[in-house]
Amino acid sequence: MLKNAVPPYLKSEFTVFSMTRSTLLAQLSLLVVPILYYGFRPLVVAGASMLTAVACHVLFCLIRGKNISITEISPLVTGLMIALLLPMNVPLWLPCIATAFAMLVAREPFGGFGRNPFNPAAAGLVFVTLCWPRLVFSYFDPSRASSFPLLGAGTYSMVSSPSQVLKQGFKPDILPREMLWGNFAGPLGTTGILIIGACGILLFLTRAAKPEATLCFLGAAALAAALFPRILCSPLTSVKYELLSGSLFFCSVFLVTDPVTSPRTLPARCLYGAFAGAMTMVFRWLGTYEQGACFALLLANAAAPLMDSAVFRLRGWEGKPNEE
Amino acid sequence: MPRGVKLDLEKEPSLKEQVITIPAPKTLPAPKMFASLRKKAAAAKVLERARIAEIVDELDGEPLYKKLKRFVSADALTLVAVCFDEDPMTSATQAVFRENAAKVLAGLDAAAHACRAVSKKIAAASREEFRYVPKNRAGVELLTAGDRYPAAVLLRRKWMEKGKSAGFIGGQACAALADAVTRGLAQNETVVTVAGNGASRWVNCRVRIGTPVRDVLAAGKLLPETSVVAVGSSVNGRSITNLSEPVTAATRCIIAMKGLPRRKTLPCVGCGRCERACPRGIIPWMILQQLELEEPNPFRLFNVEHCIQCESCSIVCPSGIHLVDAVRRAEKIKEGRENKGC
Amino acid sequence: MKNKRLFLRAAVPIFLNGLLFRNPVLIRALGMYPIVAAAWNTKNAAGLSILFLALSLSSSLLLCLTGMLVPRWFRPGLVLLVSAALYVPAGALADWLVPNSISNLGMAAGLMICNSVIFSHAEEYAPEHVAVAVAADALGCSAGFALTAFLVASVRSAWLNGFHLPFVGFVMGRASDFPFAGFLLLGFLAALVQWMNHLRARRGAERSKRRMP
Repeated sequence: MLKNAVPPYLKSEFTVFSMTRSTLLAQLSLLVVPILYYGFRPLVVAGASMLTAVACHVLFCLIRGKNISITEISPLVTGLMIALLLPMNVPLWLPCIATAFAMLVAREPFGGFGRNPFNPAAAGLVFVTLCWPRLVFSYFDPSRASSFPLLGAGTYSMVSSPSQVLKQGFKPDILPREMLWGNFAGPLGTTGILIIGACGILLFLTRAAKPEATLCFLGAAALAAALFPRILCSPLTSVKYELLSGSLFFCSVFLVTDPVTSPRTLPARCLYGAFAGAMTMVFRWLGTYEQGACFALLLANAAAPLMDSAVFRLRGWEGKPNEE
Repeated sequence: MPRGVKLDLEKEPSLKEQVITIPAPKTLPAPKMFASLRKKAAAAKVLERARIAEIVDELDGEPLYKKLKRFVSADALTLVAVCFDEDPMTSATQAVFRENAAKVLAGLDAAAHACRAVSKKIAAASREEFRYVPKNRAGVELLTAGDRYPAAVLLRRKWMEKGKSAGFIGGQACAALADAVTRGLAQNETVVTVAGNGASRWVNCRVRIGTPVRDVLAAGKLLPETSVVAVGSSVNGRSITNLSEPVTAATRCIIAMKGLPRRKTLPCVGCGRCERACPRGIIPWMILQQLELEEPNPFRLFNVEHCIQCESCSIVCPSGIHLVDAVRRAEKIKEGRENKGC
Repeated sequence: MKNKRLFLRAAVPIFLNGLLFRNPVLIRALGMYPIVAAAWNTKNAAGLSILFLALSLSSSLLLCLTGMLVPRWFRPGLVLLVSAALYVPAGALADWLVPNSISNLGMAAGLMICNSVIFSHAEEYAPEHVAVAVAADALGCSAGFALTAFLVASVRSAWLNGFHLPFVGFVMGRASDFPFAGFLLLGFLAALVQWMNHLRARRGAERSKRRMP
C-alpha cells in the first residue's frame, strides 16, 4: 500500500545526538586521570550529578507530557560539566543541587533544550558559588597523602589553588610549565590543561564546536592579563598563569562553544568570545571570588542576541546578496 | 564558502545499462510529424519549430521556445546545455548525453542560433563525460557540475557572481530540438530514471510522454516493501499514491522507497549549517526565530521569495527541522504584508 | 445610593487587578528594587508595605484632587514634591507600627519616594479618574506589593535560617539576602500568576464561545 510522504527523503549523519556525544566523550576523557590517581570518587561525583540531571529532565518531560527519549543526552553533558567544575572533595549534595538548579531554573522553564538563553552549567555553578563559596573553593592538596572513599568525606589536607594565590596578589608556587600536567589544586576537570586542549582540537576538527569564540576568548583574556597583571612579573608570565589557573581554559573550550547560547553569526561569535574573556579578567580583578569565568559567561549569554542584531544591522538588513 | 550540501552520488547503477525503451500504451495518440528544416534555417524558423513541436525543457518545466525567446533579448549570452542531473540517484540526462552526444550538440547549436548566443557550452557531470563527445566536435567547451547538491543552481549562481549573462537549457530539450529540426518530430519521448531502495533494478527508461507511472515503475522490478513513490527527485520530489499519473516531459526520475528515515525534531541549536547550505541566500534559522514571534518582522525574512525548495537546509539541519515548511510559511507572511500595502 | 453601590462594585475589579491579576511587581515588573534588595525578612517586608500603602494612597488621592489644576509638564514634579513631603509622616507611621523598620531598610526606604508604581499611578491614573477608583487602585497596588513582599520575604528568610518546611528544606545561608535570590523568586512567582491569568483567559474564551456559537 502506498502512502504519502513529505520531503526531504534524506537526512545527514550529523545530528544533535552526534554533536552532544562528541562533547560528552571529550569531557569523560577528563575523568580518566583523576580516577587513576584517586580512585573512583570522581566517577561517583560525576555520576551523582548526571543522575540528578536526568531525573530533572524526566520530571519535566512528564510535566509537559512529552515522550522521554533515550537519545536526549544533553542533560548528561550539563551534569558532567558541573561535576568537572567543582572540586573533587566536595560533599555529594553540592553538585546535585547545582545540577538541579541548572536544569530546573536555567534550562527547563525557558523551554528545554535548544531554547535556553543562559548556559545551564554556568548558571548552576554560579548558584552554588553564591550560596556556599567556602565549599566550592576548598581544594585538597594533591602533593600530600589523601584518601577519598566513594561516599562520605575523605581525609586530605587543604591548600589554596593558584587562582586564589593570584587573587591575593602573590605568585603561585608552581611553575606555569608544571601546571600543564594538571597536578595542582583546582576543580576536578579544569586542571588537565593538555587534555582539555586536545579535546578542544578534536571537537573543532569534527565540527562539533566552532573555534572562533574560544580563540577570541583566550585572546582577550591573554591581552587583559598582559596589560593588567595581578602580580609583579613579566607580562608573559602573567598571561601563562592567568590562562592556566582556574576554570578559564575549561570554560573557553566547553562552555563558550555551546551553540545554543552563543550568537549565530561569525563576527558576533568573535565579539562574544572576546567580551567573555575580557569580563572574566574583570571579575578576577574586581570580584569577590577567585574565579570569574562562569559569571562572565552568563553576562555574555545575556548580550549574545544583541550582538547578532548588531551584525545584521551592520550588514544592512538585506543579508547576503541574492540572485535574479 | 561552499554552498549546497555534499551528497553521495548513486548514479552508477542506472548508468551501467543502456537506456531501455518502454513501449507506449495503446491509448496514446501517434506522435506528430512536420517537414524537416533546412540546415541554415533562420533563427525565427527554429523558434517556431520549437513552439509547434511543444518542446518542454526538463530543467524547469518551461516551454523551450518561451525560454529561447527570453534569451533573444539578452546580449552577449552564453548558452549552456545542462547534461547532468542534480539529483544524486538520477542519471537520465547524463545517459542521453552519453548515448548520443552529437544530437545534444546539434540541438545546442540550433538553440544557440535561435537565440543569437555568442558562445555555447556543455555542462556535464565530470571531466569523464568528455569521452562521449564525438571527435569532430572536440572544440566544445565543457563545464563541470561540481559535487554539491543542487549542482545546477550552484552553477547558475557561480555564473551570476562572475557577472556574465548565461542561459541554461536541458540536455534532453536540446536533443528534442535537434529531432524537431532535422527529422521533424514533435517532442513525444523523455528519458526517466527508475531508482530508489524499493527498486531492485535501477535503469534509465525512454518512455512516451503520457505513459502512466505504473508502466515505468514495472521496469524497475519493484520490491514488495515499497511504501513511497516520489516523482521528480529523490531528495525533494513529490510523493504520489495514484500510479496512473502520466509522465511529463519534465519528469526526471521515479523513486521507489521502502521507508523513510525517522526524523525526531528538536529545537534549533543555532549551528548555522542551514545558512551555509542554502544556494539562494536565505537564512532559515532567522526565519524560524521570526516565525515564533507574534509579529514576524518581514524585513528579517531575507530572500524567502527566492526559495526553490531544494531541501538542502532540511538535510543538513542536525535537529531535523522541516525548514522548507518554515520558509514557505514565511513567504506567505511576506506576501500577505505586501498585499496589505505595509 | 444606587450610584454609590455601582461605584463600589466597579471598584472591586480595579482592586483585584492591582492585587493579583495585574500585580505591579510580578506582572508589570515595576518597583522590583525594594523587594529584591530589602525584602529578605518579614520585618523589612512589613516596613516596606506600610510605607508603600501610606505613600501611595495619600499621594494618589492628593493628585486626584490637584492633578488637573496644574499643567501637564508640571505633574511629575508635583508628584515628587508630594511624595517627598509625605515621606516623613509615612516613615513615622511605619516606625511606630513596626519599630526600627526604617533604619533596617536603609536606602530602600528613602527610595520609596520615587517608587515607579507610586509615581506612575499618581502621575497618570490619579488625576484623570474618580476618587473611588483612585483609592481602589492605590489600595490594590499596595495590597499586591505587600503580598509579593511578604511572600518573597518569608521564603528568603526560610532559606536564610533553614526552617525545615517541606519545600524549602535547605539552608542557602547568606546568599538568600543577595538580590539574585529575590529575582529568582520573583520570576517563579510571576510565572505562577501568569499561569493563573492564562487559565482565566481560557475560561473567559470558552464562556464567550458558549454564549455565541
